[in-house]
Amino acid sequence: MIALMSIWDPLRRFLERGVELLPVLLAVLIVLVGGLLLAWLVDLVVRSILRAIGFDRIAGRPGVVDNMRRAGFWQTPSVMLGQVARWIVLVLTLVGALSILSSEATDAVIGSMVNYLPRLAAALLIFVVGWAVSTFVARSVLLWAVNARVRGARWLSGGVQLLLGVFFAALALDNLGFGRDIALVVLAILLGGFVLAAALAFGLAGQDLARQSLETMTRESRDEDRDTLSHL
Amino acid sequence: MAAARETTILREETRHQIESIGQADILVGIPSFNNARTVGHVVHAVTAGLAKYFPDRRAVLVNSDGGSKDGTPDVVAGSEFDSTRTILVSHRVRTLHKVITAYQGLPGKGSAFRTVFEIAHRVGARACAVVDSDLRSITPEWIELLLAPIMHEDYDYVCPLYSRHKYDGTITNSIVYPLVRSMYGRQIRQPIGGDFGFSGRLASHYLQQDVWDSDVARFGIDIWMTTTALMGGFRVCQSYLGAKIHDAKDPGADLSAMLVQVTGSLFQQLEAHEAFWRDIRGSEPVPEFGFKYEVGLEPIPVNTMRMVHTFEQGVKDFEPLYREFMRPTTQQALASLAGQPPESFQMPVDAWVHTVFDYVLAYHRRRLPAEHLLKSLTPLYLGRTASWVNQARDCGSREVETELDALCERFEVLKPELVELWRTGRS
Repeated sequence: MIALMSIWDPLRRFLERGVELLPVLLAVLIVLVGGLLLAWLVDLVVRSILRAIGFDRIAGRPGVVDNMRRAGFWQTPSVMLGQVARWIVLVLTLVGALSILSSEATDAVIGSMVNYLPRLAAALLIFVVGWAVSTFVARSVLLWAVNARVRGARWLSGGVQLLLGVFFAALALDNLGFGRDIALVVLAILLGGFVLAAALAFGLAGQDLARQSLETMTRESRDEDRDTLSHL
Repeated sequence: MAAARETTILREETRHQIESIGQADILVGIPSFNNARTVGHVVHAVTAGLAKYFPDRRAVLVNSDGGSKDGTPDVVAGSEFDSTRTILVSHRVRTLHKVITAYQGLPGKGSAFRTVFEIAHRVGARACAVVDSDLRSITPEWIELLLAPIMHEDYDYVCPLYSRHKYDGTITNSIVYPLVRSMYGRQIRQPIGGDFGFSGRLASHYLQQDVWDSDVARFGIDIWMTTTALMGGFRVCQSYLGAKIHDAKDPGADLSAMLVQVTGSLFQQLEAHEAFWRDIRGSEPVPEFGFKYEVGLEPIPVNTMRMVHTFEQGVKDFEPLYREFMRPTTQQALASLAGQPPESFQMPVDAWVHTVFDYVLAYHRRRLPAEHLLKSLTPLYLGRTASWVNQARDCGSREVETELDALCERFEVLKPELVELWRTGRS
């Protein structure tokens, strides 16, 4: 009986606290669900309005769309702005939900966010520039590799994009002040792994393939030497 | 005209030399860069041509050099005019002046030509010609054929006509000639031939254009000269020069880079001249001079297997890239060509025309950075070339021209599609 009481008392206290917290948690849930719905609605409305006023066409005129595409962003400006609006609503929703749980915590989060904004903006810029650079370089590698008849050109290009992506992610995270080591380790693992995989593939597992590839390359280059076509 | 005189790119010593020459009737320009092996022959041919066909005209020979390290200007300076005595029964009545100068400005053939234009303008030349310095097949007759239509028939621009091997000049045959013909409506067979005749009037017109800080100054000069002459309403003709044999090509020359330069220059011109070509339909022949004859040409070995493999890899690996600017129907048509045996590989004419038009439109709409866009054309061009090699394998020179005419006619027939897509901005 004593043992039963010793279990029941903490359980009762927990249930009482739970019952006390239930309205609060329910309120948080309602805010979160409402916020999610609102974010989706805001996204939809922003997109619809921008499309209705022909924003994509207007933005396309001075070449904004083209520049975005060249940088590797394929979504239309209206979709991108809709997504930005959705994320703003989502962040506000999270802050609102947090304020229900603890006003001190909310103040602290808002304060941190305000202090963090310049870093966040810089990190975002690094991320965007990194995305554009990695897309450009990866495309350059793809064009070179295909025109030079390198097999696995897409893998090569994808690998370059991944490496550059991780590099810029490391820069962005470093700017934010966290996760730098993780990103650097990932970069090192990827680079090391790539070199090791290539060495193993050509050195051990793919001896025949390596020989065949080299033979094909030399044969084709010999053929090419005999090819005296003048294109102009 | 005054503005052209005020801004000069000529070196001071060159200006003094030109002032001492005074006025001239004819000017022949030879742009050069490390062509010591061949330029001597070109100078001899030019000298002999001037002595034989224009002995009583005041003439100037200009070597516009890009800073050769192999002594090219020395070879030009050392080429004796007297050597023409061995091939001529008569001698020049007038002195032939020789101007050897290193051009200034952006490095490239365009800047070399600008120097030639300015000297022509300053000496008041009535007829001018430019010939490549790496020619092995140039004869004295070329000078007459490039200059006489201007001197005697009042033409302003003389394009070359050559006898070439059916597999040679595939960028010209597959892209440049069909596009120039269908867009500008004139059947100029070698729009980027490299050897041209032009009037002094046209040289001054060229000089006045504000293009000398652009790609025109570097490598796009040939197509620019042709399209500018057409745009300016100058009288254009072409002269048959016979075989064109260059010095052995640079083995390191990159096909992709060549394609980027040629197609980029042409597409730029199309951008600039849209109002001119938009309403042109069909094409008309251009008057021809010269006596056509069959020329024995050395066989050219071509590796179609390599070309077809590159085509297939390009269609597969560039698929996401092509999707961004190519019409789905074009992309499907190209994808469906994969898997054919290289020795019988065929690309339908319409698939090629649509491909070229899609590139023109993508360049116009800046769908990708220009260099990336144009480099992605390489595998498709090689596919077209392999198809052409298979198609022309058993053709004689006349049949080859008939086939090329058929290709150009498809460009002309399908041109309204391009105009409509250009106008509406739809893909």
